[in-house]
Amino acid sequence: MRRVIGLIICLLILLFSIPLVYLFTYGLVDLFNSFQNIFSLNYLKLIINTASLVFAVTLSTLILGLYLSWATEIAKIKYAKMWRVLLVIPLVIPSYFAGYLFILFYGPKGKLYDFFNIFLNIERFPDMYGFIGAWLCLTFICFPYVYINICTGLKLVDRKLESASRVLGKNHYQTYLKIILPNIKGSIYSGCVLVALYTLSDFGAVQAMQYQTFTLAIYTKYRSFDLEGAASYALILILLSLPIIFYAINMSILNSRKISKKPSELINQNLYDVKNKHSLVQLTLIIIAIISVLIPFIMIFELIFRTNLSIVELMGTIKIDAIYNTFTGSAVTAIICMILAFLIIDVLSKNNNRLRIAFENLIYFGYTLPGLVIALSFVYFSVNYFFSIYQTWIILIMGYIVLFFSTGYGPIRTSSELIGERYSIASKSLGKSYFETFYKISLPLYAPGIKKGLLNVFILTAKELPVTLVLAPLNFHTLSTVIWDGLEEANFSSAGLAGLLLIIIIAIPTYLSIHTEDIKVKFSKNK
Amino acid sequence: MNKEQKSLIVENLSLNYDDNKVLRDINFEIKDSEILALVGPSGSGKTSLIRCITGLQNPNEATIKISEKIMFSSTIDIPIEKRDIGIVFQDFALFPHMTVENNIQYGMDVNNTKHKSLSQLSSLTDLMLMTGIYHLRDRYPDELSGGEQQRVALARSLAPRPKILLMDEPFSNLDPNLRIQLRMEVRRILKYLKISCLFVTHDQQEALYMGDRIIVLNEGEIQQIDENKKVFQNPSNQFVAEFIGLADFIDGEIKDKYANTELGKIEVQSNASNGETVNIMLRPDDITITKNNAGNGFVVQREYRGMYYIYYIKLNSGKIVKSLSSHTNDFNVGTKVDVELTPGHPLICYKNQKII
Repeated sequence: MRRVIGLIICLLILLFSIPLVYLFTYGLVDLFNSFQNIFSLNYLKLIINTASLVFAVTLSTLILGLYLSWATEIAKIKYAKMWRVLLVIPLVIPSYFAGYLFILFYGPKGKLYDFFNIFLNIERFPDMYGFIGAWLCLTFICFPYVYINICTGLKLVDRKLESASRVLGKNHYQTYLKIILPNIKGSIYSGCVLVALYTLSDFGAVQAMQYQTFTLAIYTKYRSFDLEGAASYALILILLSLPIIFYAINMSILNSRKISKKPSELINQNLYDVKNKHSLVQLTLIIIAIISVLIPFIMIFELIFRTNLSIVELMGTIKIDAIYNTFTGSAVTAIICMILAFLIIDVLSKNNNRLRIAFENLIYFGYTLPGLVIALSFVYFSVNYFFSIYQTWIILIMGYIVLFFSTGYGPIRTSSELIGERYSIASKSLGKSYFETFYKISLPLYAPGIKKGLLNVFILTAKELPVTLVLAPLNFHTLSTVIWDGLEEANFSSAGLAGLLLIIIIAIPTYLSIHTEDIKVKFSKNK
Repeated sequence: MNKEQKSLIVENLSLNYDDNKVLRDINFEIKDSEILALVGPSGSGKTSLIRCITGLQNPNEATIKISEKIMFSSTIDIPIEKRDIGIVFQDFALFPHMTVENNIQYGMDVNNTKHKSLSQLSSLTDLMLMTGIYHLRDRYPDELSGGEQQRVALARSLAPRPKILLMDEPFSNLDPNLRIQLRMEVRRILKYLKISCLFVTHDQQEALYMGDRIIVLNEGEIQQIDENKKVFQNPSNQFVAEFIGLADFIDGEIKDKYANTELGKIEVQSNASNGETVNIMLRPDDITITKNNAGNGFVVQREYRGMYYIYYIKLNSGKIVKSLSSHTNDFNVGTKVDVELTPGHPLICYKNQKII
């Protein structure tokens, strides 16, 4: 058994090395060939565009995330539960779709323009294309990442500290700044890093906004079948974002932070009474929900019914095979990832630390890479060395695994650290066999981690676009490619309907994933 | 001279959760530099009471004054941070991201932590020296042992010079030996600094040691407030008698200053009239047993406590009483013994649970 697992680990290492090989062979060669271009204005513009977008989106999502988590977790407001659900809905809208919906509303001749034109007779309207559009759009897609992370952090903070600080003469805001914030620093950073990585690798929203970033440039190169050129762009992108990537990898690996003690009896969460500012807080939440949830959904229905098709005709445009492919593709990827993670975790956690850390660095590196880069590296690999799997299911799933394996592995690893060996030792000492212990003790204990991991991989794979677009077999459609093609070919009702179906498919897993109590929170309560 | 200052006055405090009366009609005060121990079984409302005094929870009705200043009443509700209270939490609640020194300094009025005035510097140092943590000043809380954390928590709560200190079961997370050592030290420091303190505990021994006076709380009502000796010697009702120390009760019929019981005639201190039947409180040290095959009781159980035994004796009436006996008196279960009352002081009597 151990040998089989060793082999699996070796194969995974090979699989995860493919993008690295691609980047450092094709990428480096192309860079040397076109060395003079590195200093061209084109590169400089891409760098500035990408960096400024990443910085702006991270900053604005941070501000939104801090404010929203304060409003729903610390302040005493009505409907807090409802807001907690509403404010994460933007997560279910894929960025390539959201970007288009955004343009549809705010863009030139968009709905907002129509409104101003008809009612206020305004002819000129600010152009939403470019930086402003990409920044606003990504901000309203990504803020839930920061928001969710901070909320989890707040749950892990010993809220007694807050009372201790108040008693020592500091008011609510001083306490928030000096005590709460420093103690959730880790969660804030993880949220920001997720957003930064999302922005770096996103090409849907920037494509819709026609804003030139590295990812878009890589895509353009790929469209002209210039794999070397794409690799050199990708290499520069990766090198420039190494600090963020390193931070993200470290953060994921060191994620098993200290678990705070259970909330004491004396101070169960005291929510802050916002008093006369209550309606102001509610108003800001309503505005944010309108921008990030209500308008996109109105726009989806506008898309669907734009072409005046009857309901029957609309139903006819649904591609059953796309639904089937999305669902099975995501489910198969999720299950493979979890089986692999579960198989190797035992061996990895017992084996020497260096091997484990090296392996984990590699798999988390996969997650930090833009999907497009991974897709291209697999094209490169299969075309050059393994043509028989080019444009097949197999290579598609392999791409998904490299991209998302770490999101399934993470929860398993966290569980493994929290659970430790004591329960299975206890079970074995009570005379139970290896399999009985596995079935009756390990599996139920790992259940929350497995569930979280499955959901993570499923959701991300279902939403995924670039890898699917590039690696899928010919005439193979998933909902995300139907949306993409529909928007490119002005087949709006088909795109809108596919978007709605995709959102429905990932809505429930997303809800379950967020409201499955964070594993760390759960264990800190048990202690 | 002014009349004596009161550090804390609580008047007519009551607190309900829905229909559940958690605290009823609580009245007490703490004098300047007095330590008042609040003791009661778990669920008696101790925690709710400190939450109300701190301002973490508003009582349904109360007037709370700290240093003669109203902090809470039907019209006034001073926020927590302005109540001049210090708290030592059960699990300390030290700020994990700050060093020991920064934790202590946090509540002091230091606007610029880099440039402390000389007097602040010396009081900070004094405080750390006094609590014995000066050498730990640059460490972080998670690098300290439980006892050290406890000292830091005490120093931190004293740093802003609170008008009153609340200690919520401060020693319950420590191991027994450390607990005894620390409570001696804490009492010494509080007395030296003349700090008024409300000390909450569920441990009667700790309450007897720490408190100048003791409040016994049960089911949301104050059972007795008195000096610690009085609470032990003259418990106002049978609950207090049993909660503070071991106690048994035997029936007796009052005759002048004496009572007739199944263990003979014994001197009592009571206002009951002649002929009335009362319950007489017996502490284990009031009962002496000697081995006698024709005795009036026998050993049904024994607890070995090192220096002494607690014997459980079944009397002829079927009643079981406890007796404290030297470790040299080694009686097996089943041994017939003679039971004698040897209190050396008049015994206290109860009628319908209340002292009479």
